Amino acid sequence: MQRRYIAASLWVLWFLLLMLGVVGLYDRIVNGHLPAGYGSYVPWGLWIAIYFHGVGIAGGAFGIAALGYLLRIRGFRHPAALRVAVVLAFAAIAPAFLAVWLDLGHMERATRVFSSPMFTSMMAFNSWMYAAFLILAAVCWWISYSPNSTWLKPLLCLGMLVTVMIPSQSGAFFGVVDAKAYWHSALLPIMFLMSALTAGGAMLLLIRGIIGCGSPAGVGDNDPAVFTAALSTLRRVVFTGLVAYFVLEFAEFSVALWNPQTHAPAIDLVLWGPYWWVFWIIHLGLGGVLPAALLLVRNRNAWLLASMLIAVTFISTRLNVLVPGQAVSEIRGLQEAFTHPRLNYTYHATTMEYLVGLFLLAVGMSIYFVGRKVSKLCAARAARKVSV
Amino acid sequence: MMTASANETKHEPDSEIGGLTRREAVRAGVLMGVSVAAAGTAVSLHRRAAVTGDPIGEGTVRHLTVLANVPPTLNDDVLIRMQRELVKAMAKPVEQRRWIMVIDTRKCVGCHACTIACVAENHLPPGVVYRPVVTEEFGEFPNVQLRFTPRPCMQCDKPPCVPVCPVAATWKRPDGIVTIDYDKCIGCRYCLAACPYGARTSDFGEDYLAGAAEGAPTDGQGALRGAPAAWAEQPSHEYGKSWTREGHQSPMGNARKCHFCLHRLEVGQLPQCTTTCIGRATYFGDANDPDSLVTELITRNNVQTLLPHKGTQPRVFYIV
Amino acid sequence: MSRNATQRNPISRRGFLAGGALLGSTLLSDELFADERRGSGDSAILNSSRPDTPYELVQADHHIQSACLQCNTGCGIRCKLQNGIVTKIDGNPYSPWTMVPHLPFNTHVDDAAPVDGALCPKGQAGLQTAYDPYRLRKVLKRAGKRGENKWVSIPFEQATREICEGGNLFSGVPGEQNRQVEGLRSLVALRDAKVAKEMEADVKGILDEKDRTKKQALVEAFKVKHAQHLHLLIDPDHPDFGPKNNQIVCAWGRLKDGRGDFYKRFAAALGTTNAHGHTTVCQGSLYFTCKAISEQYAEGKFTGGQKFYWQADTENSRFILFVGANLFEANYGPPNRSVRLTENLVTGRTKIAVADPRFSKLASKAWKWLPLKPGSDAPVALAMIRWILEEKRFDAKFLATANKAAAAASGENSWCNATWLVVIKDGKPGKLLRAADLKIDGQPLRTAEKRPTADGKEYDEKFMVVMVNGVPTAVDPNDATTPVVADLFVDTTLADGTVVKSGLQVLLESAREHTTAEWAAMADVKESDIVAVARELTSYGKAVAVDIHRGPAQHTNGFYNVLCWMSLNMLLGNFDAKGGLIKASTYDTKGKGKGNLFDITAHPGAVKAFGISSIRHGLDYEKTTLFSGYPAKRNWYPLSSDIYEEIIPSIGDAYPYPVKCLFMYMGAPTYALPAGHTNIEVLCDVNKLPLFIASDILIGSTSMYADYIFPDLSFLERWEFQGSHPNIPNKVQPVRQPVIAPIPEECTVYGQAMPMSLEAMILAIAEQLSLPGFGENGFAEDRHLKHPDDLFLRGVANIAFGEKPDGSAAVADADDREVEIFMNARRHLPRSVFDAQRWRGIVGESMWRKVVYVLNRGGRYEEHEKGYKGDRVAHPYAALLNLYQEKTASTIHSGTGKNLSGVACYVPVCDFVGKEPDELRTGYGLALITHRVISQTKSRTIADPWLSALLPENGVLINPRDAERLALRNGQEVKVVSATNSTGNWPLGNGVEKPMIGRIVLTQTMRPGVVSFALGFGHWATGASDVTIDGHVIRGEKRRQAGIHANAAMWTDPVVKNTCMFDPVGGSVSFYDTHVRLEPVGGAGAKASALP
Ligand SMILES: Nc1nc2c(c(=O)[nH]1)N[C@H]1C(S)=C(S)[C@@H](COP(=O)(O)OP(=O)(O)OC[C@H]3O[C@@H](n4cnc5c(=O)[nH]c(N)nc54)[C@H](O)[C@@H]3O)O[C@H]1N2
Ligand SMILES: Nc1nc2c(c(=O)[nH]1)N[C@H]1C(S)=C(S)[C@@H](COP(=O)(O)OP(=O)(O)OC[C@H]3O[C@@H](n4cnc5c(=O)[nH]c(N)nc54)[C@H](O)[C@@H]3O)O[C@H]1N2
Ligand code: SF4
Ligand code: SF4
Ligand code: SF4
Ligand code: SF4
Ligand code: SF4
Ligand SMILES: [Mo]
Repeated sequence: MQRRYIAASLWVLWFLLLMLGVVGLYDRIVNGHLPAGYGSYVPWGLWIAIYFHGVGIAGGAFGIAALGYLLRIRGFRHPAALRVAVVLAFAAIAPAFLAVWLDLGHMERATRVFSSPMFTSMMAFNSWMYAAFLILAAVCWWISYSPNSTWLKPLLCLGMLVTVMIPSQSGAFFGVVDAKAYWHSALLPIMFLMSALTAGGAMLLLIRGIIGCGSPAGVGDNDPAVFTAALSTLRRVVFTGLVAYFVLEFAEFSVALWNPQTHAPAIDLVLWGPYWWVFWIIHLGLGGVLPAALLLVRNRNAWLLASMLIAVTFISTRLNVLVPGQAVSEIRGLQEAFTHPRLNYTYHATTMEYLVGLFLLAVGMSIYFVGRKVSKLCAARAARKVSV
Repeated sequence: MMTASANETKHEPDSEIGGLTRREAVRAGVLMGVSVAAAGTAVSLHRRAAVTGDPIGEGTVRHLTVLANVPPTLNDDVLIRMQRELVKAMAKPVEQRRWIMVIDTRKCVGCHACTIACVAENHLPPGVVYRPVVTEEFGEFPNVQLRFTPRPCMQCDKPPCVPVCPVAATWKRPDGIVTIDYDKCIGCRYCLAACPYGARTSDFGEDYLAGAAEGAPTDGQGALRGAPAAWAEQPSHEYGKSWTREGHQSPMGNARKCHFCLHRLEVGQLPQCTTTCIGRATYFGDANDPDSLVTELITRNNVQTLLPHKGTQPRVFYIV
Repeated sequence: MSRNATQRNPISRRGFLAGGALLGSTLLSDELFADERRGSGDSAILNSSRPDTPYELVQADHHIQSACLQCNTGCGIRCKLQNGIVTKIDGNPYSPWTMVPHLPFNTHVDDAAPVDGALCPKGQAGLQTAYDPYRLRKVLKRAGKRGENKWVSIPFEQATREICEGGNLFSGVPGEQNRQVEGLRSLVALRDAKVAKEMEADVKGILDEKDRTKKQALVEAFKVKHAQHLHLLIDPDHPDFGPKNNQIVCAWGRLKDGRGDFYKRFAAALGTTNAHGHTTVCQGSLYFTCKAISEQYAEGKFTGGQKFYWQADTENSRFILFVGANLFEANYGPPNRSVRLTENLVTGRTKIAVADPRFSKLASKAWKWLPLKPGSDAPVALAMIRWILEEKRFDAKFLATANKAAAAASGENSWCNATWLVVIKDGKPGKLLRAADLKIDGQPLRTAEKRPTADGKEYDEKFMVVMVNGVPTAVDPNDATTPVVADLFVDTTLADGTVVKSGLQVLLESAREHTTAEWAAMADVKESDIVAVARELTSYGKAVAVDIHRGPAQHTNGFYNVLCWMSLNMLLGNFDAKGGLIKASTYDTKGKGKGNLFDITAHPGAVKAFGISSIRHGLDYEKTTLFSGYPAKRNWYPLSSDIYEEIIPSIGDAYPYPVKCLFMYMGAPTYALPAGHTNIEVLCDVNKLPLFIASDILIGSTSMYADYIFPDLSFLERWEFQGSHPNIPNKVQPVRQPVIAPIPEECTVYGQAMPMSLEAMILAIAEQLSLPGFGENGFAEDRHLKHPDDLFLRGVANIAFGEKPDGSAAVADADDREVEIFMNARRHLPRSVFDAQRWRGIVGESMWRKVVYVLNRGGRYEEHEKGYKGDRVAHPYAALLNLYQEKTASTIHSGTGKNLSGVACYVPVCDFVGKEPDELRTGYGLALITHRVISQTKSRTIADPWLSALLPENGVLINPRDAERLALRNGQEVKVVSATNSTGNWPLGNGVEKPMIGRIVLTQTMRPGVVSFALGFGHWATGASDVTIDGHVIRGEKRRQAGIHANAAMWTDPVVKNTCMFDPVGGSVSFYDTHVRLEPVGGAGAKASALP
């Protein structure tokens, strides 16, 4: 009953997202980048945040699941648990890719990143890494059906390496940019890793919470004990990640705030700028304090709620790195020297961008749905094979 | 946490390294090692490689006749002197030219002629600018001061914008100019983020006449002329090629930046911003020519670069 | 390979390869480069699949040189064409505006082609003005109430017919169903030259009669004598109003020679005396004070003053004090003046100081800034004058030269009347003493001589008097043989009891009205700064100048502010000196007396216009039949002309007489004038102004009130002779010529196809009314004026011919290649504009190649070094300078009835009747001024979107100290209100109002207590608002409405009421005297505006 209710509401949600998203997509395709809010002084906006969020979730979720599998942690030992994470990774990374793709000025040339890459560029490097990761994840997923393969674990190890690298690389993506004092920080890659683990863990928690809820899902969750173990492990991971992230962030900010030499206007902007509420209310409140509190509560639903909050609000961590990092001019008065909305150091995502964001979410959901179905089919086939 | 559950544990390995058999561990090690090595090699190869393939050597020598028939005088406008020096530099192979720009902020009158000249010359759409002139105000009445700082691309010798490009669409030429190949650029805007000077802007395909004379006939036969503008339909000449603003074609969708007016240099003309500088505050020339005006200027003690701490080693110098 | 094209094609046609190998070579056949074009991947600059294309913009064959008109500086431009479209405008290197020194005139066009000169951003953006989507293509006729912006387009012929014949023209407009409009035909009443001549002479008799009873008698006699023709007059009781023809007023804003010749010829053909320009809105009092200074003593009176002024020889000055002059953003103009300063400033060769309430960009390069209070120019100048006189740091030698001969003897070109004795009556300086009137021992100092006048009559030469070593001495000012060097300071009573002072003494006393400390306090400037500047001014010999512009001129006391500063220049003795004050010099276009090459002023059959002008200029109030004591109903302007602020308001008051038809060419008084809204009220009233015709390139802020708008050619499509400015030492004549194919439709006049334009409108009316001086034999036998080219090409021929009657000063002939370039560059022009055959026919075979030579260079420009002769300029003023002005001193202010001062002095800001506007100031604590920014020109450049990026909107500039006091935030919206516009709204007619709201811009560059706004924003027309044409709504562009234009907050004169405050002497409008209050507008956004 409850499951059906959830399923139905997910369908409705998906449909709504898709409908709204298509409107945004249409706008993007027909009018190009004109309806977008990013420009030249803040060249990256919501979509790039979504991108990093997506790859973070993918990496984080896969990493946790792989580690759990390798270390045979309760609730993660079953290959099906791995597959959930792989499908989740696909569902997170595909929209992430789509997001950057839509962000390109020349989408038709995207393949150049593969045909004529320049590996000094973190973007090219990342693209290759994610591609490798996807292949790797797919292979792991495939051979997870043959439980006796001696390749699964080595591949998972490699996957682990990649998943550690992915989020930290995302950090490096910005870190190499000397132009933006705020990004040019050694902590950033670690922070990205932490936020990836947190968000990935949260997504995993959410999904396993939902699918494990009362019905056999082939994850081994039909054993309530395993189910509980998985959830509480994830809960701990998420909680730890959350705390670690905020500690790191505090470290980062405090260094900048109390060291007059590195005093970063970008941080002032984050904390006290016109969007102070994004940091204090959304990021710290809804994304930090509240989920932390909820995770401390002994109630699964609270954890799920916390996960949901983290999964959503951690986009703001990305935005909080992304936007303020760009929003400070090294050259005073540049914005007034030649005026245009796109030559502005403030950024507001536009309706079109949000709608496309919703579309990406819908795409993620679709992929997850399809992935799950395929996984189940394959599992059934594998089971048949075994039984035959 | 580590207690095994029956339905999850299928087999007991003989020897384990963190849950992996020795064999698995070796495999894992090899896989990881190979991957890291491959990635490392790729990055370092690309770091070192100069993958430009620009024309160099004798083929780039230009014997121009510009100003050959105009007798020099002792007090020629510096524009003339610099143009003569430019012609001289063009007679060398490209790799022997070292273009630099020197901007005397004491002479800049903040007129923005250079900004607009560049916009016009390169057919820049709204939101794209190669050379804004920044105005700063200091002090308190009556002790006030204004400072004007034109900001072209610095053509950095260590350009942070170049290594971040995922597709090698931007690079440093043999004469030092940092170039973008619009036909290669995918429009990811990474280079925009990487430039500390904000010298790169993206062409979002905007139109200066959007929103003008809506409702007016567009066939050119009405009582009013109506949009669109004839000038906007003509191709521009950046990099000596022809770029028409149609559909979504390049340079729309691309990163764009100052290129020292390569197409003008090629025919013996000074960069547009230099030529139109009403304060004669902008100098341009070949730093490899010991007799050139720019060489003279940058050897004085009041020369600076912008944001030197960024380590970009700009080729645009400011006299203060 | 393409790059070897040079080697393979060693054609050494001059400059052919100016454009380098590949990129510049469309001249070579396409096949030659076929493989490169296809993109073999081996390109000149960038190896890519995209082929290289030639950079044709470098070639002379794609250039037409012309003159910019984005502001009035008239820089030489090079328009670069791509497929017949101008895509780039650069500086014309032949022009001294864009290069210093400019290229020698004899440089081959091919050689000059790759050399670009410098231009300001507006000049660069000029092509956007020309291709503006709001440009008119057809004649518009009003289809709603005036100013309602409802139009229909009508055929050109219909428009001219309706205007000429009149009738029930607006039957479709509510309220005007039955209104009969009087057409031009009936207004051009007096067409008989003989009658006109007689009437004119008799009117002159009436005016010259001083006795009022006798004057009345003369009027009666006139009525009897001309009884048969009285119906041709506006008012037979006032014959001095002149004929009905005067009820046609031809007004203009920006008009340059050539077009000016056309337009004034039109007015002359219509027989109206009313042809008035916009000078007084611009820097009128600067012109008219200099006119007064330059009046020459001839035939016993002061006459022949030139409407002109001087500026510094920027390039060679060692020290310049710039007063209210905005060199780097405006003035005449940034490209030519900046380049002549910056290098010298950096090397320390030149030092400058700036007197301006606003810290301008110019001030940022100055050694000293004098942030004077607005309107306190005279105190600062008088303080300097006093200090210089008392410290004896003036140029005594120059001042002592009392006549032409003395000037020549001391190596001067000009001389000054500082030593001439002025008669002091009742303690007041009045007329200059005449030697024939001074009796010494019963004998005149020098007996009067009978001398011939220019028109063959005789007059009594009475001579001036100076003191030479204390002895009164007669001096003949124009005597070139006997030098008289005189005593400077004279204050004495002559033997016959006449109290006299030298002019310089009178000036000294005027300067001594206050101590330097008191003067400094009045201006709120540090006395020490004033002294420091005065010291610098007197430290470099003659290579110094006080260079002034609108800042001091545009006040109610503008005339005397200017006179103070110019008197200071006289003390410096810097006129005609290299590095001193210089004047403009131009090649003649008119052709009068050039072996009679092409006299384009010849006007056979013209009826001499006469009568009081509609703006009451050039005539003493007291002389007229309208005289009825003081104050007059409106001011009279005996010493000035082109009183812009009087053209329309006087129509409103029908003073001196009602006007029936107004033509307005390229002017926007409703926008440009202080209190411009007063003009709108009149224009909207069809009873006050029955017919209003505008020539415009779009629906502008004044033409929107017209009955008919004739589409005009923009500056890139038309002819004009731009002339020069007083800071250009060389003799020049920039020629504006057709560059692009006309946007307006073609029409046919006198059987000739031509684009619709001002000229076409004039020719068509002339044809319809058979006006003299147009059409067949318009200039003379076999010299027709049927097409604009008939006038302009002859003007160009006159330029090419030069000033020597034998033609020895003519330019060279264009060679074959130049003719080829000339033809190639004009390929895209329609035959109605460019037709080599026709053009050649007009100028004749002998002049054709010379005309091509001039046109290829965009005018005629003397070589740079020819501007000087040693330490003097080659084109000097070389005439008398009036330090003391007898003519001014003899003129009566029609508001107060008092005589004007003949010497520099301090006059407070006053209204028409001489009252200080204290009441208007109370409650309005901030002084309002206005200034230009480099990116905008009045109501013209807002069409150019490139420029908006530099400053999308102006704001209200205010010092943070004031803002804090008034609790105003940066970016906050405020309304500007004044005592004469307490709503802060601009009434646009028909009940529509535009609030004058702008954003606060905090800046330390403003003097506390003063606020300013930049010119060129806050538009309601010019493409800013929706208009309906032929039933279709055409939307205005939001961008063009941005910012504030606060002219309507500027004071209206409390006495005259329907016009702004004005300078009763020099005619200037008051731009910098108003006091305002800033009223915060609700919930203002915090959006910060850009810098000033
Ligand atoms: N960009 C641009 N350039 C132009 C034009 C344009 O519209 N735009 N127009 C052209 C034309 S028509 C003209 S007339 C010229 C005008 O050229 P300028 O007269 O040089 O230009 P404005 O900006 O009007 O300068 C007036 C200056 O006087 C100052 N001022 C105000 N009140 C006072 C005062 O009481 N005393 C003194 N001493 N100074 C005062 C103002 O702050 C301002 O700096 O510019 C020409 N060039
Ligand atoms: N606040 C403020 N106001 C000022 C000044 C200031 O400093 N501050 N400066 C004043 C000065 S110096 C001046 S000179 C005046 C100028 O005052 P105007 O001479 O009245 O003003 P313009 O802007 O030149 O007006 C030109 C009008 O003619 C039309 N027009 C434009 N181009 C063409 C053309 O090619 N052909 C024809 N036929 N029509 C055309 C347009 O409708 C435009 O509105 O402004 C004055 N107004
Ligand atoms: S200024 Fe910016 S765009 Fe130009 S080379 Fe340097 S980093 Fe690159
Ligand atoms: S925007 Fe173009 S040039 Fe810049 S990094 Fe991306 S692909 Fe390279
Ligand atoms: S060098 Fe050319 S491209 Fe660069 S700013 Fe100057 S005009 Fe623009
Ligand atoms: S054109 Fe020259 S003077 Fe004008 S803003 Fe540019 S650099 Fe400065
Ligand atoms: S100053 Fe600028 S706008 Fe004025 S004429 Fe010269 S180029 Fe044109
Ligand atoms: Mo003006």
